[in-house]
Amino acid sequence: MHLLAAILIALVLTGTLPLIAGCYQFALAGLHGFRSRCTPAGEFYPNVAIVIPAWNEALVIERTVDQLARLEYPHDRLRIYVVDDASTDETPALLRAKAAQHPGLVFHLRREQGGEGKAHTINHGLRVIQAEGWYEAVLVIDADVIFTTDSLRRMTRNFADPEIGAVMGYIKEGSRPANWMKRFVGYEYVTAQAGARRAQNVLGAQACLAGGAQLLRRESLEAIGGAINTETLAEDTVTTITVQLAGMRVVFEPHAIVWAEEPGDVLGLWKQRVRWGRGNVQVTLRFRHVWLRRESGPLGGIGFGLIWFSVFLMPVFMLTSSASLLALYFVDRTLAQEVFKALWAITLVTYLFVTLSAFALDRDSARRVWREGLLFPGAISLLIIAYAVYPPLFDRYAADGLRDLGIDPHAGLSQAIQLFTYVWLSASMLAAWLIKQLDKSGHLRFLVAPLLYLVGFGPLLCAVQTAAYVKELQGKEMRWEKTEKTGTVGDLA
Amino acid sequence: MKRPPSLPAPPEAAPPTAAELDLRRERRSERQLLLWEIGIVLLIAAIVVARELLL
Repeated sequence: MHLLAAILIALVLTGTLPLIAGCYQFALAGLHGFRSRCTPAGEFYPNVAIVIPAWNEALVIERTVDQLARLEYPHDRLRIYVVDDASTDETPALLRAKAAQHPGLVFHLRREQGGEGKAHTINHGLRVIQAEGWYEAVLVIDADVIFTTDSLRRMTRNFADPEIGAVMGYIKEGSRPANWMKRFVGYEYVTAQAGARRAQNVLGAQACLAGGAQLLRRESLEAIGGAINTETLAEDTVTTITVQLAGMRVVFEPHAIVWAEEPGDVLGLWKQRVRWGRGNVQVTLRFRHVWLRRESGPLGGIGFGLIWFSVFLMPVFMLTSSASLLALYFVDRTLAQEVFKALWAITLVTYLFVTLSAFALDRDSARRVWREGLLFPGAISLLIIAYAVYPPLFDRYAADGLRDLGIDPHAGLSQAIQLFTYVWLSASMLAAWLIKQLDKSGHLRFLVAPLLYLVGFGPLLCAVQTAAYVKELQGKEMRWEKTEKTGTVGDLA
Repeated sequence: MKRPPSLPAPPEAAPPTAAELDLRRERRSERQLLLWEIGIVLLIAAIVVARELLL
């Protein structure tokens, strides 16, 4: 019996692994100013070819190109190639006009047969720049991203160190006004980019150069065979890992800010993230010989493995944790209550550390998205935290409140509430999936936002990852479903 | 003591460029993050102690 209880307690506590990994990342991020392996010089200006894949981007492409033409970067060292993937809207006409407006700077490359996907479109551009041979570095960006005027020079200065093979900028959600979903993504990017990638700079290994703004040194492009991978849904992660396995370092430049437009509803986010999640499954399997092996260098380190697998396996940890807590309840109720309290106390400490550190890390974003930061785990989870760490709050006041409402807080109700709190880690994922279904149905859509604040954005991401596992296991067809961009990025550059 | 005439005058330090000043500012802000995090840890510790005292 004791052994069973001990095993169950250990399994319950696996639910804290992603939280501990989150704290670990932010603790490392705090050391970024002292132990970062990213040591940029003041100035360094290689010839940069910018490659932009574009398919029906008439709403955004003109502004993106105009902003690139305003970069604080020597224009004789800059060329912008927009690869028009057989667009059927105004994109070709707009690009012809831009090429005429900026001769020698903007080039319109037209693919008459398109539809093969983003990776093929990028490779078309890469073939052209390699044939010309002028470039010393290539910047691959999305058609909607808005580079701040100093961002490219802040990225290229890292190449003064010959060991650095690739650099990524800090992509921030830039829609103005930003609705609730975009604000959630805005906060998520502070943790997943500003925090996590600083930590990865300290560890000396990066998980992913975001496809929206990745700068590759010429030698890095050559090391990956001169083209990006077209077999996975995470071509940017494959590039990142392949470059590092070729012996070059990849770094995050936190001061190169790039604004992007992200999905504005649950359904749009779900489609985008299932694609990313499936890509992560593919990458994890493809590079299975790399993880947690000393000979793989920093990519095979325990620290990097903890970060990678805590995100990749988060739904598994959540399900295991709550199922084990429920099992423990039937073995020893008192013990289950103690373990429940410990689990959520750890959750509180890590939540406070990560959330407040994220606010400190990017105060500009914090001013806009602090509500979404505080409610990232969901209001229900915050209530459970309060219940677990300070029971009198509920034992006294909630029971009185129920009596005022004419409800008798008898043992049965109390037990039901207890069981609900025990399974919430898993049930929250189901609830998030139901919110997605509600959004998809088109009915009662006004409820989607308040329900998401209740259930939380974190559980939504876990549910998406679970859906990605399922689709990958089912071997569903890989389709590049483009995230619609409508040009909502504000005047931020 | 007089400097021997054979030694060249020490070169005057060039003023830092805008990009270098920018870089120094960034490094300073990066280092401040650790101070923030120490403050946050102390705050959390205070909350834990307060809880123990209240319960």
